[in-house]
This record gives sequence, structure tokens and C-alpha cells, in this order.
Amino acid sequence: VDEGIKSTIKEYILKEFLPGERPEALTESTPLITGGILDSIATLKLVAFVEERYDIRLEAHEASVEHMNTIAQIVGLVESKKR
Amino acid sequence: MRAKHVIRVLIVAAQLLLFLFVIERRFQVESPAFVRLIRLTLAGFLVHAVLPRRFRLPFFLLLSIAGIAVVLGPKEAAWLAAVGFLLVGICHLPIRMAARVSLLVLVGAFLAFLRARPASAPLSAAIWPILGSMFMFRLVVYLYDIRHEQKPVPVAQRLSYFFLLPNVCFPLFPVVDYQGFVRTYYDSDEHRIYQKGAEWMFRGLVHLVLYRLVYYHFMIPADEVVDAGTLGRFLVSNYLLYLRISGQFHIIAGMLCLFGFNLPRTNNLYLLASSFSDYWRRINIYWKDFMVKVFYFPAFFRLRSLAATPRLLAATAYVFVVTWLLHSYQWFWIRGSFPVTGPDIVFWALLGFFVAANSLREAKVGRARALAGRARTLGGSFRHAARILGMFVLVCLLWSLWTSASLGAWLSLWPFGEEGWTRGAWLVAGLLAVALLAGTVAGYLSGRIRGLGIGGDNLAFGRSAWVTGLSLLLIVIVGHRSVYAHFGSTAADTIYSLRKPRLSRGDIALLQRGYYENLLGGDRMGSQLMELYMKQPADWDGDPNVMYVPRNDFLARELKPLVEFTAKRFPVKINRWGMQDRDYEKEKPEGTFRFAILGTSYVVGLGVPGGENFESLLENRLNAEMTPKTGLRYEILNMGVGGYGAVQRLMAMEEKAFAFGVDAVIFTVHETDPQGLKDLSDAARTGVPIPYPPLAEMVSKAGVDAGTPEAVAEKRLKPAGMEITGWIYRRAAEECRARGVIPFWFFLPTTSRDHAWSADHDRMRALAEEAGFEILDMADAYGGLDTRTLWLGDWDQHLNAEGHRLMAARLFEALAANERFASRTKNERGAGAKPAERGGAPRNGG
Repeated sequence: VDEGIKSTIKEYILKEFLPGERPEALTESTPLITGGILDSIATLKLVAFVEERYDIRLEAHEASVEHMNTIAQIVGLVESKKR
Repeated sequence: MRAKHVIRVLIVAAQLLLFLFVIERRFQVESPAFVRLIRLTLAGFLVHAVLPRRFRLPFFLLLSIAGIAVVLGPKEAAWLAAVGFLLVGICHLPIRMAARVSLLVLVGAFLAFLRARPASAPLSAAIWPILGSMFMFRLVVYLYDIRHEQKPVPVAQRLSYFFLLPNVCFPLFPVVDYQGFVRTYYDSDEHRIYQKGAEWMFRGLVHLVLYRLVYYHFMIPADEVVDAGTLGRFLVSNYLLYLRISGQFHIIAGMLCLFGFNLPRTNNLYLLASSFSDYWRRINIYWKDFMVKVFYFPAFFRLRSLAATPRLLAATAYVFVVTWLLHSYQWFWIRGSFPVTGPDIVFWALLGFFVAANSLREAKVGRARALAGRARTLGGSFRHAARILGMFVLVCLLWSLWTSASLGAWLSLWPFGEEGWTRGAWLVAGLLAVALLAGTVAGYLSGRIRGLGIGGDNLAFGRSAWVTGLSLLLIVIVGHRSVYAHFGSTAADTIYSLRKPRLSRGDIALLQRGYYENLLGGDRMGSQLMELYMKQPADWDGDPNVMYVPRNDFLARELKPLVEFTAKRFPVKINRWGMQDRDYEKEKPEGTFRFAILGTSYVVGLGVPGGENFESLLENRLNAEMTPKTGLRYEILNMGVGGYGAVQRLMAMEEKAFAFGVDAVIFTVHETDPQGLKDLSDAARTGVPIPYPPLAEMVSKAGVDAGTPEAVAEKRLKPAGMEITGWIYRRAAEECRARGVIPFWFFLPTTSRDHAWSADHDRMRALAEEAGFEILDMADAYGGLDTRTLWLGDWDQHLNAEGHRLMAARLFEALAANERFASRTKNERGAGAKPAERGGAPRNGG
């Protein structure tokens, strides 16, 4: 897992969706979609951030539990797009 | 380890056994078919849980198909499986995806063609709703997901996705996400998944019993909304009827957990939604996920060229238009028609607007989230409770709109005067204040006291099993007559009433008026009326174009002379005078005592073989038993017409019965007459002249005229019901007296098991006696009987053959005991009337 991408995404999630939350409570395996942190609007905001930040383009089907339910999955998705 | 597995499986099985006991012996919350399915589920669960993992999916598939055979029959199961395999097979043809989709659309169109003409299709009509619910949405999700599938999925799991075991009893099955279905299969501890299934089934049971409590005891028909109090009661109870859907969805998802499919919640405390977006996320979650995945995200990603706000608005609008269309599409597969109604459009448009506005706000401002529950301050708890309460009120309002058959019907809820708005307003305000206070306290405490929850998805196996098992056991105990009888008469009566399925007062009225065929409210799919309608054989009522000839006056229609048709299973012949009866000469034969019976569909008596309706049986018996004593022959001319109101019966009597030289008129009335003034309201609304000026004046005085919406008109006329009834009785009796005809008031109660009409009956009888009617009162005719045994079917509460025999016997007794009738027949004989030459022979009738 690219630590740089991981920390960027974690910071974004904490700032945008979990203000006031302890950073250590959010791990790379915390369920984001099934855990109710990312609803459809938040998922789209995160997609827009990731696309702009890493200059990649995600597909609609990738905005799903299978690809974006944890920070680890999101990092993997970003890395696969950058390759 | 093995022993632990067996023990835990047996613990879950014990809870299922209690569940089965409750739905079979205590609260029959669903159909007998559902009981059979649960028996199969219990047996299947025990086998499935001990099978090696690799055999479980094929076993589940076979069990699901066996479930279809148990509920619908083996032939239907074979048809469903064949059509299903074909559809899934097309999804995997080695051709381009676009070609596969085109082929599926073609096959779907062919099936839709057959669905619209069920009588001509080779498939049983019972298959369509189930076939539709298995494939109409799941094929869409499946095709969407297999394009991006990365891991191999066993064929049995693919097929199981469509032939899900509970589906056969629940045509209103939630859309299940295919990826989620695959991903969650045994994705955590198997015993915890099984236990979650048992727990959810129990929760579903609680929802269904609560639904019944609301449906039987709190829900009032829309036309009984007369003030703020009744309006509040109607709005809240109308929304709470959704408990039925959420209960069914809990049971469905719970049953699937028993076989390792660890599906997420279907609904999540939707009554506690604090905004429209929150509401959309909490209610029918599977539908929301389906919409987001297949429509919202793809639309949003395609609209990259737009700025964020219009992009979000356009994608949201698209989702709600599709949701609206797909609800009608779903109804098409369930019932075969594609309804487009004003309330449906307005409801989805409004909900879409509010959700879009909320989404925009959330996109800009964000919303509070937390990884773990956070304690709120008292002020924060108050604001949150106020938001929940506000949402609840708004959703109640929107829901009432959605469930109305028309915009006019919804508007008819509101027009009550200043006095109406104040009556009950304090009660409503008081209840809202109590709810706000309770919500504030609960919200404040919930973040501070840990371990308060007794339920929840993360309960350990043991604790969940204890809570669920003991709760089920408690229901078993409390649901026993010897226990609840000690709770006082009100509580005992209430518990007793919840045990069996029946229709509410409002639904009985709709059923009796035949309105259930045109159910248009947005809740139509979850309503009990719809379920009854689904049981009704195709063409049950016969073709009205064949049966009736329209009239342009107040009578509106009459039976078409000399036609033959089939209705309610039996062939029917209409005689030359437009009667469902044998032929009669117009002129009364000498030595004959002639009756005319005026009435509704109860009198017409379709649904029994010719000559077996109570009118024919009575005529036969009079000729068999009275003729030898009086020397007179007896004729009863059946002048009943389905759907005739009391004024139409009066008009038919004056126009038709007297022309046949009758000696007596049997004027049939029902307890519903004073409330069912549809003949008057229809005439006033459509500009058809009402033939009786005093009645026309009463209608006008009630504020009903051309252009008054149907629901408003009937509501306005209701208060004048008894006054109108009294006038009809006086007029009928006077007209009879003027011609020397004996007027009989024949009270024939409908077979609905709602006996709240006794006060109306007493007033009606008093009015009839004052008017000078002879009384043939059958109010207690069904005493001690379960009236369901007298119905033609669950969907048709008219009298069956046994009911007609009962009614004929009771009428004969009442006539034989009537002094005026006895005296008249004695006089007729004394006057030298000759005994009939043809009398006495039983007839075949209509």
C-alpha cells in the first residue's frame, strides 16, 4: 500500500466526513460504505477528489463496496489506475 | 467443535420452530402457503447446516425450486424453472453483451405479451407475479454486475440468486444486489449469520403483528376524516401500514441468512429519519442501492461535462423518474396493467425534489458522521428529535398523497370547516409534544448509557439467541387464550383480533364496491386487497359489456335481456325481461301470488348454479310447502342488479316491478346503504337528473354537484345518509300501499365480519317500521357462523351455495310467520283464486 496515497485519502476522509474524529480510529480496514461513512453523495465527493488529486478517471461501477469500502481498497484502486 | 456446531444449529432451529408455532397457532400473519414454506425452510435449514460446504449452494437451489412446487405446484415450478434457466442462459451466451441484452428484451417483450393476456398463455396465471419478481429487476442488476465480475461464481449460486427460497410467497420481494449476494455468502461466522436470520425473522413477525394492530384498530377510511383528530389518526396509521412491507422484507432477508447469505438490512429504523436524504437511505435500502448503482452513479459519471450542482440534480431527477416508472413496471408483472396516476407522479416528483435539495445541502455543508455513537447535548437531542418529528409529519403527508387513488381523493381529506380544524387539534398537538419530549430524552440517554440495546446486528450469538428465543416463547404464551383472557376484555379482544387475517372496514367497503380491481394507490402492491385480487381467477366477474346494457338515466345500467355468459364459474342466462331468473309472463297468471325482489349483487346471486340462489330456492319452497295449504302458486321475480344503490332499487321497483302486477315487493337493504350513496353522488357529479326532487334537494344541500370529486361527494353525502334512507323507505312503502302491494323490508347483512353496524341497523329498521314496511330482518342470520364459510372465495364475499340455502331457509321462516302475508294469501284464496295448474314443480332458474 502506498503510504502517501493512504495518508492523503485518510486525511481527506477525516476532514470531509469525520471532522472531530480521532485519526487512529480510522484504519485502512474500517468499512466506509457498509459502515455508513460513505453514502452516495460522500462517495461521489471522494471520487471527484481522487480523480483530481491523482489525475485518473474512475468508472461508475468502481464507486462500489467492491472497490471503495476501505482505505486499503481505495489505495489499491488508485494504484491500479496510475499504472 | 462439531458438537458446538450442532448445538448452535439446534438453538437456531428451536427459534425457527417457535416462529413456526407462532405463525401457525398464534398469529397467522401470512398465508397458509407461507406456513408450508417455513416448514420446508426449517427442514432445509437443518439439512443444509450439516452438509459439507460444497454441497450447500446446489442444495439451496433445489430447496428453492422445491419451495415453488410446495406453494404453486410441480407443474408451475417446472415452468418457472424452465423460463428462468432460459433467461439466465441468455445472459451467458457467447455473444456480445449488446446482443445478449437485445435478446433478453425480445424474450421479455414476448413474456410481457403473454402476461397481458394471461388467459391465452400456456403458463398458469399464478406464475406471473413470482416470475416477474424473480427476474424483472434482478436480471438488470445481474447483467450490470457480470460485466465487471472478476472472480468465478458457481453456477448454483448464480441460479440461486434468481430462485430465492422466500420469493414464492412474496411477490413484492426486495431487489437484491448481485455482488452483495455473492460477496456476503458466509462472509463471517456461520452461526452468527444463522442467528441473525432467526432474529430478523422474529423482528419481521413483530412488524407484521404491529401492522395488523394498526390496520384493524387504528386505520380509518379516508371518508371518516372529519376533523383534525381523525386527520392525524388517518395520516399516521396510513403511513404505519408500511410495517407490513418492512416486516415481510425482514423475514425474507432473515430466511436467506439461514442459508449463509449474510445480507445487509432491508430497512433501518425508517421512522427515525431526520431528513429526506436520510429517509431515502433508511427505507427500502435494497431499492435505493439498486437505483444508486444502476442509474444514479452511471448518470453522474456520464455527466462529467456539467458542473457539480446541475450534475447532481440531473442524476437525482433521473433516479426518481426511473423509480416512478419501475413501480408501474413492477405492477405490470404483478397484475398485468401499467397504472399511471396523478398521486404517483406528484409523490415521486416531490420526494425527488426534497431528496435533491437535501443532497445539495449535504454536498456543500456535509452531514454529521461518527465512527462510534456520540453523546448529544440536551439541546442537540431536542433539535434532532424535532427534525425526526418534522420528517415523520412530512412523510405522513406525502404517504397519504401516494396512497390516494386520485388527487381528488387526497384533496377530499382536507375540506372541513373551522370547527373541524379545532376539534381534536389539542390532542394532536399534545401527542406531538409528548413525542418530542420522549425523543429528546431518548436521544440524550442513548449516547450516554452503554448496553441499553437489546437488539442489533452485532449482538453475540448467545445474547441474540436468548433475546429472540425468549421473546418468541413469550408470544407463544401470551398468545394463548387462557393467558390473554386474564388481561381484561379490551386487551383480550384486541389480542384475539390480531390472530387471524381479515380486511379492515375501509378495505371491506372497497371490496364490496368492486374497487379493489382498480387499486391505484401507491401502496397497492403491499395491500391485503391486492393479495386477494391476485387470488381471483381471471375473468371471474364476467364481461360487463356482455352482461349489462347501459342507460342514460339514473339507473345507469341493467342486465341485458336474453344473453348467456359465464361469471364466477357458472353459466348464467338472463331472461327476456332482463332478470337473472327463469322466464315469466308479464301478466300475472291467475291463482298466483307474485313477488318482486329488488336488490344488489347479493340478490342476483352469481357464483352458484342456476336455480340455487336464495330467491329461486325460496320460490321452490313456497310452492312446495305453501301451495298445498293456500292453493296459490308463488312467483318471485328477481330484479336484482349488481351495484344498484338504494335509490336505484326504488326506481327499479317503480318502473319495473309494478308493471308485472306484483302482490308484494321484497325491498332488499344492506347495512352499508346509508353510507353507500354512490348512485346519488355519481348522478349529481355527472349531471344525470335525480328522479326524486326531494332527494335532489338533499344532495344539493350537501354541496354535491357536477364537478365535485367522487371522494368529496361521498364524504359530503354521508351525514345525510339516514335522512335519505328514511325518505326512500317512506316513498317505497307509500308507492306499494297505493297499489295494494305488500312492502317487505328485507335486511340482508353483507358477509363481512365487521359487526360495527348494529346501531345503523337499528335505525334503519325503525325507519322501515315507521314507513309501514313488513319486516324480514336477517340481521342475525350468520349468528355463530364463521362467515368466511359462506363466501364464494377470499376475493369475493358474496354468498356461496350454503349461504344461499341458509338465506332461503331464514326467509321462508320469516315469510311463513308474517301475518299480513298469511292473511293476504288467505284472502286471495277466499276470493276464488284458482290454484295454479303449473305450480309446485321445482324450477331450474337462471
